[in-house]
Amino acid sequence: MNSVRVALVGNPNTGKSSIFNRLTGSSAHEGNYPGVTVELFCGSRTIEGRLFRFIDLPGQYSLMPASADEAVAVKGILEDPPDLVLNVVDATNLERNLQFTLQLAQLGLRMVVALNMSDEAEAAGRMPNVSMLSERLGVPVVRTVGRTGEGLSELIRVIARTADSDARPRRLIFGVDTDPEIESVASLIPDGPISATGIATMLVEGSAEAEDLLRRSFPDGAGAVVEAAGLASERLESLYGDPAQIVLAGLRHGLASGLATEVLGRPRRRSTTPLLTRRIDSVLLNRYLGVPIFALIMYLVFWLTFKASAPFEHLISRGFSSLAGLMRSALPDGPLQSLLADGITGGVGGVILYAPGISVLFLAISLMEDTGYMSRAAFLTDGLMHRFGLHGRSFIPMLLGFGCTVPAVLAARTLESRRDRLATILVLPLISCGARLPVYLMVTRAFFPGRQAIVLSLLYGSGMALALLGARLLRKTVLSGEDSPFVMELPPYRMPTLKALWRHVWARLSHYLAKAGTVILAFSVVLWLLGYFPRPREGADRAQALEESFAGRIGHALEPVMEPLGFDWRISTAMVGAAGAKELFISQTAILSSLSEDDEADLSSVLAARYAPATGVAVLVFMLISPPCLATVAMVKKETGSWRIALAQYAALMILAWLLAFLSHTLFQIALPDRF
Amino acid sequence: MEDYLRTIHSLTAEEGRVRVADIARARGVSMASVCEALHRLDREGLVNYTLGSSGSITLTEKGAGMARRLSSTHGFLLDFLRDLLGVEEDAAERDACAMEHHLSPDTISHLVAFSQFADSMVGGGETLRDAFRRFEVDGGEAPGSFRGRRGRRCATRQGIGLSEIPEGARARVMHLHASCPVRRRLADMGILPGVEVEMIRKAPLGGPVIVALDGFSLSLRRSEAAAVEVEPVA
Repeated sequence: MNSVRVALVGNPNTGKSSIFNRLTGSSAHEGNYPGVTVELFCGSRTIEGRLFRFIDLPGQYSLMPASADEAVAVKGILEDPPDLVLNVVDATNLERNLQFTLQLAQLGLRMVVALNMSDEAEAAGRMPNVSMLSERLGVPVVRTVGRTGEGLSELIRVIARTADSDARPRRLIFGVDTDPEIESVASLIPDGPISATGIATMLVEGSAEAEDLLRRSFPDGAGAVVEAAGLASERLESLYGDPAQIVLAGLRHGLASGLATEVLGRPRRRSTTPLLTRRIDSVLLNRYLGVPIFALIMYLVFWLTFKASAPFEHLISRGFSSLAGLMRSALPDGPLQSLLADGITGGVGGVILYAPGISVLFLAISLMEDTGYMSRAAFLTDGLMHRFGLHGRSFIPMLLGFGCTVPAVLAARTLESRRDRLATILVLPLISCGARLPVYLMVTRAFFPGRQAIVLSLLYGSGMALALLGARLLRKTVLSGEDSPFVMELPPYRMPTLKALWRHVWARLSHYLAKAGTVILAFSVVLWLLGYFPRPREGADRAQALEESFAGRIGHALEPVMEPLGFDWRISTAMVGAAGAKELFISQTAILSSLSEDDEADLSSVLAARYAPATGVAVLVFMLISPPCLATVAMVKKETGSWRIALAQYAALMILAWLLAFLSHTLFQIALPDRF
Repeated sequence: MEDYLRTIHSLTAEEGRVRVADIARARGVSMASVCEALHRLDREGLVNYTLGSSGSITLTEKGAGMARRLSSTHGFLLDFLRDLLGVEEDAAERDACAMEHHLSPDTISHLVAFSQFADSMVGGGETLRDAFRRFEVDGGEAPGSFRGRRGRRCATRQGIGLSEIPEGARARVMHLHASCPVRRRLADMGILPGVEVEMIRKAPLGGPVIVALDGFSLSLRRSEAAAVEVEPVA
């Protein structure tokens, strides 16, 4: 017997994911839907000896996608129709949720409605008549509470029963003018898993996805059908004076609110935003308090991410360095020892080092998402961000970028539109991350004693300005296009469940460890190779060994290129090493200067003696703009799904870094010729 | 539909690059109508247009050919109505649009011949054109302005933008003028003609606004709210 595929669909914020978790338990994992690159959760459950495979599609309001990412979910349903659609509905907001339910019902797929959050609906005195709703829609309706698991066993029974039934949702009557138009289009469409009426309706509304589907499944007649649909939509438009999609949405809206009134019984009370939510909003979104409170919350998140995780990070790095020490003493000297102790242990350690910070960060972000604060944060910051072609939600990744670019790139996931996400990710490395700070401190101590604070502020400020300007430039050029709609629901505040939080944090963490980890590890080994080989001649000290290694040779080879910036081969070699992670610049410079790594004060004076301040400035600028670390490249690749984007970003930042470093070097030479 | 081809044609010639917003501005219609028209033209193989990309609207070979033919017809009809008959500019523009869609090529070629005839001398040293103008000024009635076939699109806004509603006030939605994806999202969220909304909050410094519908709150940008035409409700 074949397994049964069940797709969970519904509006955002309906508790769809908690239902999914209850249904699939521990079998849930991220998976891919055919032809879909967005990460989706898959899971399975055996019911009465039969395997049911569940997929949690992204929340959506309609089959007519408003963004490219929503289109992915629609394509998922149309191109590979599930055996059963499980529509999760927020019982407290029946009017709007039913609009989507009506749209889904028209597809003619087997369907079950889970009336979720019914405890809240009951408390508000707005619990619909379940059997009446089921009868009107022609599909089974089950009352559920995802948070507590109430109604889940019933839901499972109903899913199993419906999977075999031939019953389909009831054909709905929308309007006397629209239905004949849609039926005349539908009559041209051959039967398939998705009903002809469903496809015809979407076509009349102008759905590109439905057109794609038709052109693939029915190549001969698709042109004629699309033409007929276009004419039908024109006739409806001239009849109603509004575009067909608005007409049909309006009819669905009317039908949905009529249905809601009917199943809610008694004269319907106007449902309003819960009082508590309104009270909280009047503080958190207050004209004067809103932004300061947001800043405070952000500061807290920041502090937790980078401070509270510090002891764990310390522990991890200690653990790994003692592990490396153990290897050094246990293994004989040689490439194997160095590879295991320096390359791999260092690489793995570097990956795991970020894990506590990432966990804390994602706990905070999940909390903000699950309570409903995230959309409020976007509301507060969109005014500023939109001016630079970004979305309100870009603010959080950018702020986190001051700590570490790797989790910041991950945090860009909260952006729904790919264009916004790309613009944000591409400029994130310009925000000065924490790993650059030690380098700034060392270099400014060498060249600007007494004026460190102002130089540092200038650096951080220019990074932020460059990022915002870069985003604006990107949105005007390669990422140009209409802004994605900001229109979003502000869900009522809800208490998050531990389970959901855990799921979010674990999913993201495991993702980071598994996917980014492997790439970071590979890069670490390559860097180790460059620094270790070829082996130095007998009796060479560490500085000479590094100079003669591939890294040192690359540094030498780069000298003509870097010379206009005032960099000699030493700085270039240290920069090659710092490609792995910016903080490595210090240890590399120390090795090259034949100093121990802890001698930072000495290092500063050595630098001050050897180089002109103009070179110091160029180093700072180059540090600020060049990509922070290889982990970032790995992360960008993972989050954008494209090596091309990751490498193009790397190259662009390198070129920009060189240009601006050259510019500042030259300007400084002109401004302070006496000190050169 | 043909109007759009012509607009794209002339915009391409003038500016080289055509976006949805350019067409909407040039034609004085909403971006939404433009999107729809473009989808239709795309389907008919007249323009290259894909959803969401406003950066690259070009005419196909077929579309360009059609636009060239239309441009000349349109230009002629406009001259004919405005300069020969004396129809005022706006109405002439509108009616020229309407006529070129409905008149047969034969009628048009006769009109072309007639306008050439009107410029020839008919006696007394004046042309038919002059004689007609004199006749109109002396006693003929000024031609009334015709309503275009798509009068609705020419209609001006009667309501105000949702963004102009003060905090705490209610308003009823009349029309959605937003661009395609935004309008779709608004409609799916229940912002539809006839629906009543309440302005809850406006972020400072031109930031987004929050409106309440039946049962839930929505946040939208000021510009998105401005594209929703509403009438205030007491």
